[in-house]
Amino acid sequence: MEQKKEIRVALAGNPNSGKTTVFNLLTGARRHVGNYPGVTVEKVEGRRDYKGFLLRFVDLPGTYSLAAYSTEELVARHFILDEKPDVVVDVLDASNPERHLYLATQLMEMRTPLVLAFNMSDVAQSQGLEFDLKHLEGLLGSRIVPMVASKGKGMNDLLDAVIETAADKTPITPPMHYGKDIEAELSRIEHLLIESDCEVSARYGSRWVALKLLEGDAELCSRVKHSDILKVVEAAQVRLKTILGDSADILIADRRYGFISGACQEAIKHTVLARHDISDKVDLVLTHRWLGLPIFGVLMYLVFYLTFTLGEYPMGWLETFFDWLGAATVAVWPGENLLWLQSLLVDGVIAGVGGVVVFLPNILFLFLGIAVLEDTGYMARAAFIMDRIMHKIGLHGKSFIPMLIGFGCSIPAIMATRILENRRNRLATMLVIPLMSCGARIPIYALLIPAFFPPHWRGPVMWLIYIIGIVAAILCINLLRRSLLKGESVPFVMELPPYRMPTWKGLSIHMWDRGWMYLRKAGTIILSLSIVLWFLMSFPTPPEGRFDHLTPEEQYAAGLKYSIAGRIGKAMEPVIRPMGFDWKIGTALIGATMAKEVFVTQLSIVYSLGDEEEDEETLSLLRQRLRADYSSLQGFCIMLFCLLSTPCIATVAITRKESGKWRWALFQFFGLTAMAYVVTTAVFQIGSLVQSLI
Amino acid sequence: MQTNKETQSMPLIQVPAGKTVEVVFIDAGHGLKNRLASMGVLSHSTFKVLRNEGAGRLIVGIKNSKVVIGRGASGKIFVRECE
Repeated sequence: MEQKKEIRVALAGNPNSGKTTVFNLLTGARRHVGNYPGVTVEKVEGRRDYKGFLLRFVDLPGTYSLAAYSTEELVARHFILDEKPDVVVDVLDASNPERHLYLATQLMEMRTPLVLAFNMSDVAQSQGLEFDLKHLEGLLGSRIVPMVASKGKGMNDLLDAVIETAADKTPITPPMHYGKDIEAELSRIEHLLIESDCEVSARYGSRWVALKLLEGDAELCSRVKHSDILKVVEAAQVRLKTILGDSADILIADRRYGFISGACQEAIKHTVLARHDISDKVDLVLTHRWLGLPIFGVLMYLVFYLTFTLGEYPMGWLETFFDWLGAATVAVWPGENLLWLQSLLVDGVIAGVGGVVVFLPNILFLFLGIAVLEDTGYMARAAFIMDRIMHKIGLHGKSFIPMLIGFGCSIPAIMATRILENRRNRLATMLVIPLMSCGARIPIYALLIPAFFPPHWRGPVMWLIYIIGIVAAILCINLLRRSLLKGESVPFVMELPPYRMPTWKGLSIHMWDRGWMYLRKAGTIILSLSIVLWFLMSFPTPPEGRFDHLTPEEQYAAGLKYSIAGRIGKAMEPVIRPMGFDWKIGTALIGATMAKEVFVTQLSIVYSLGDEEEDEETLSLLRQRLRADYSSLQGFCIMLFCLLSTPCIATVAITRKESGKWRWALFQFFGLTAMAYVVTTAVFQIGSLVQSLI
Repeated sequence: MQTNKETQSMPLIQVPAGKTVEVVFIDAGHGLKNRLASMGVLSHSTFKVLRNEGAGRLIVGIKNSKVVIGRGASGKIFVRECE
C-alpha cells in the first residue's frame, strides 16, 4: 500500500469562534477524545483523507490569547511550540475580526505556518462587512479562507489552503512591528540570547523568546536560566514603562491591536453601520435582573425533565433487558456446573455492567440539553445570572449547573464540570458534588424516614437531609478554596457570545462523545470494581450443609454474614459503633458503595427478607424490624452517613477520569467518608446525651 | 501625571448603562490585565456600557462582542466618559 503523506494540523481559535463546528466538519465521525497529558484539558483528535494526503487534526483548547495565564493557553502554546504541527488553522468569527485576530497575531509571532479560517462569513456579510481578501492575506502573511462551517461551506477551500501552506518552503516572516522603542529593547534582548547560547531561544526562536521575556511571561522567564539576561529584561521593562507609561505586556498587546486595526481599516469595508441586532433584545429579557433567574429556573427544569423523566423510559427498557439477560443466563446454564462462574456472570458482570449502562439514557439526554444551552450561547448568560449567588460561596456562576445536576446523579454532574474553565474551580466543584443528595439515595430515605418518623415529621426530615447536604457542600468548598485549592479566584471576565442556532450535527456529536466516553472509561473501571465487590460478598462460601435447616432467605443472609463483606461488617462494628451502627448496617454500607440504592437491598438480605425491594409488604415488614432494632436517632444517623459519606464506586471512577488523577478520587472517597464519620458520630453522641438527659 | 490621570477618571463600576467610555488605565496585576487585553479591554480602548445594575457586574459592548466584567475587575478599570 502506498504511504500517504501526512500533514499534522492544529486547530486554534477563540471560544465561540465555531472552532468545534469546523473541526467536526473536517473530521466527521472519525475522532478521538482524550486528555492532554497531565491536565484536565480535553484533547480531541481526528483525521481526514484528502487529495492523497492524510490530514491529522488536533483541536486545541479555545483561548483568547497565548499568554500562558491559564492551563488552556499553556496547553495550546506548548502543542504548537513542541509538537510543531505542519499547519495551524486559526478559526475566527469573521463578523468580529478585530477581536478574533488578536490570537492570530500571537500565532504569527510564533512563526507557525498559519491558515485563517474566516468562519461565519455569512453573518459578517449580513452585518455589512466586505473583505478585500487578497489585500488582507498580504497584510497578515497568511492564507484566508472564508467559510460557513455550520452549513458546510468552505471546507474544501480550507483543506486546499492547508495543503498549500504545508507545502510552502519560504520561511514565515512575522509582519508585526512593535514600534521603535520596543523594537530597540527586543533586539537588545535577542542579541543577548544569541550570544549566551540560550537553549530555549535556540529552540523557539530568539525573537519570540525575547518578546515573551519582555512581556514578563512567567513560564519562559523561569526557563531562561541566565540571570544576566533576566536583569536586562527587567531594565528594559522599567525603561519602557518610563517612556511609554504602561507595562511592557500591555504595550505589546496594544501594538497587536494597532496592527490589527490598521489591517482591518485597509482591507475591510463596513457598508452598513453596525446595528444592534436581535441578540441585544433577547439579552434584555434573558439577563434581566428579575426575569433572568425564573427563566433560568424554567430552562433548567426542562433539562432535568428531559434527563430524568424522558430518560426513565429507555432506562426501564435497559433494566428489563439486563434482568432478562441475567435470568436467561441462569436458564440456559448447563446444570449445576461452575455455579460460581454463573454467579460471577449474573451477579457480578451483568448486574455490574447493567448498573452502568442503565444510566446511559440519562447521560445522553442531559448532555443533549446542555449542548443546546451551550451551543445557543445561553450558558454564558446563565453563568452571568447565577454568578451573583455563587460568588458568595467562592465559585463561578457556571458551577451551579453541575451542582444542580448532582441532585439527579453525581456521574453526569461530575462530567458536566467540563463547562468550568478554571481547574481549581472545577476540582472544588467536582469534589463536593456527591454531597448533593442524588436520586439513588432516595430509596434509602424512602425506607428509613417512614420507619422512624411520624407522618408529619417525614417531609421536614427529608428537607433537612437535603439542606444538610447543601450546607456541607458550601462549607467544604469554602474550606477547599482556602486550603488545597487556594489560588486567585479568576476574575469574572467572560464573553457573552452572540445567540446562534445549534446544528443537529454538533449536538449529536457532542452527545455521543459524552455517552461513549462514559461507557468506555467508567464502564471498565466500574466493571472491575463490581467484580471485586461481588467477590467480597460471595466468598468464602459457607461449608456444605451448615445452614440446611434454614429457609432459603435465611441461608442467603447467613451466607452473606459468612462472606468477606459480612466479616468486614462484623470487624467494622467497633469502629462504627460510635455512630450507632452495628454489623448489619456495616455490611449494607459496603454494598452501598456499589450503588447507594443497594443499601436497601442489602438490608433486606441481612434481615432475610429476600431482595424484592419493590414489594410494599416486604418494605413495611423491614421497617418493622428496623424499628425494633434501632432508635429514630440511629435511623437519622444512617441517613446522615449515607448522605455525607463515600460516593458510589461509579462516582469514584468518574472523578478519577475527570480529574485525571487517582489522588483526587481517593481524596474525595476518604475525605467525604471521614467527614461523614465525624459528623455522624457527633450527632449520635450528642443526640444520645440529650436523650438521656430528657 | 498619574495623579492627573486619576482625577480625570472614575472606576468603571460607577458608569451607568448607555455611556461610552475610554479606558484611562487599569490598576490590576498581569493576569487580569492580560485577560482583559485579550478581550480588547486595555488602555485607550473605547467601549459602551450596556448593563450596570449596580452590583459590580457590567456587560460592555466592545469590538462587536459583549463581555461581562465582574466585581473584582470593574473596580480596577478606570475610564473617562467619551463625548
